[in-house]
Amino acid sequence: MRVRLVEHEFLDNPRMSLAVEEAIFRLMLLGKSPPTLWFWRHRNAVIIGKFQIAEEEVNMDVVQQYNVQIAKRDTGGGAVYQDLGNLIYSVIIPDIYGVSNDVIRMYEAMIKPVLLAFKMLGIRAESPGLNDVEINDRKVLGSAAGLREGFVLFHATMLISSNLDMLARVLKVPKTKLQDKGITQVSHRVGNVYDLTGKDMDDVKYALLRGYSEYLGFEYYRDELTERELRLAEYLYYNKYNRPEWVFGREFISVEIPRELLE
Amino acid sequence: MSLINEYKAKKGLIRVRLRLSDDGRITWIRITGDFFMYPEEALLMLEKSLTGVKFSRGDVSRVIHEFFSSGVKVPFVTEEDFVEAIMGAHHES
Repeated sequence: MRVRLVEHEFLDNPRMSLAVEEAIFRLMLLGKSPPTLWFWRHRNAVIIGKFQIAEEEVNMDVVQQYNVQIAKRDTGGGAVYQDLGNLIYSVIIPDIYGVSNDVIRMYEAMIKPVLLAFKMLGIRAESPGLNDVEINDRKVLGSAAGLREGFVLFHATMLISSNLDMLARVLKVPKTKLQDKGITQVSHRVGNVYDLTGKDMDDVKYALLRGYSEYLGFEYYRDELTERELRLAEYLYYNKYNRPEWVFGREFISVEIPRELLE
Repeated sequence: MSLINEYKAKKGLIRVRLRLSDDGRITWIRITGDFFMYPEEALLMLEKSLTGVKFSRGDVSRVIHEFFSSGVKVPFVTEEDFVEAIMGAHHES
């Protein structure tokens, strides 16, 4: 599959990043955006899952003190802290692999390339929970996905050289969750790829490209986001991702898109 | 009466907040957490179908069972997890 490779960042606006993702996904459903692998990052952000409530997941006083941007994504799963040492990427593709009606197989198809990428770097990585990746029992990657009939939006976030103290301060990790793993602090549960393996952001990016290429047959061409994607993203930003009831409440907002934005 | 619970399933945390009427029915319920659900909007349906239901294991289990039978997918989280998460709701301490 020919896959557009995009590297475009909204470093201080995670809500816009998420709006762009949805724009690409929606336009791809209409055949107006190509299959895409997008690398992105944020300077200082928390992204929470669709079924979460910000104040239950995030220490609001820390967020204010350090000016952390809060955004909510349109997929399930848990809250993640992201700084420039954290690599985020999206795989937005038509499901030519026949996995979109089987959540487990879909995650396998999306996570195996990551394990393969680490293998090519000579690193043993595992995926005990199916949608995460661990190295030496430290979680380095978490992921989530949205499915539409015949289409997949998968996104993942990988700790390469993040500030784990900041992560631990910003996120409220429930004790029940850590006790389960026999540890007391989130900083003992997660790890940075660089600290664990000596591989940096560029090493990992390059390996990921190869992993997805070998496992799913991606052939890349570099390109930019289209005007249409950016216009639709802006609409989704104002009508969904930047709305407080979306970010801080638990309202599901379904946005009616004006026709002209889809043409 | 307001009740709350935080329940850890094998994979995923389920938080429940609910209010009960004097005769022990759920008048309002909100389920949040870091689980996955496909389709996502089904969560609202679940909350809606639990509203008005008697806060008893039997009645809640029946609603949850119907929900899971409707084809909704909640990877790694079982019917029993949801029942436990709801029935474990207690006064906020």
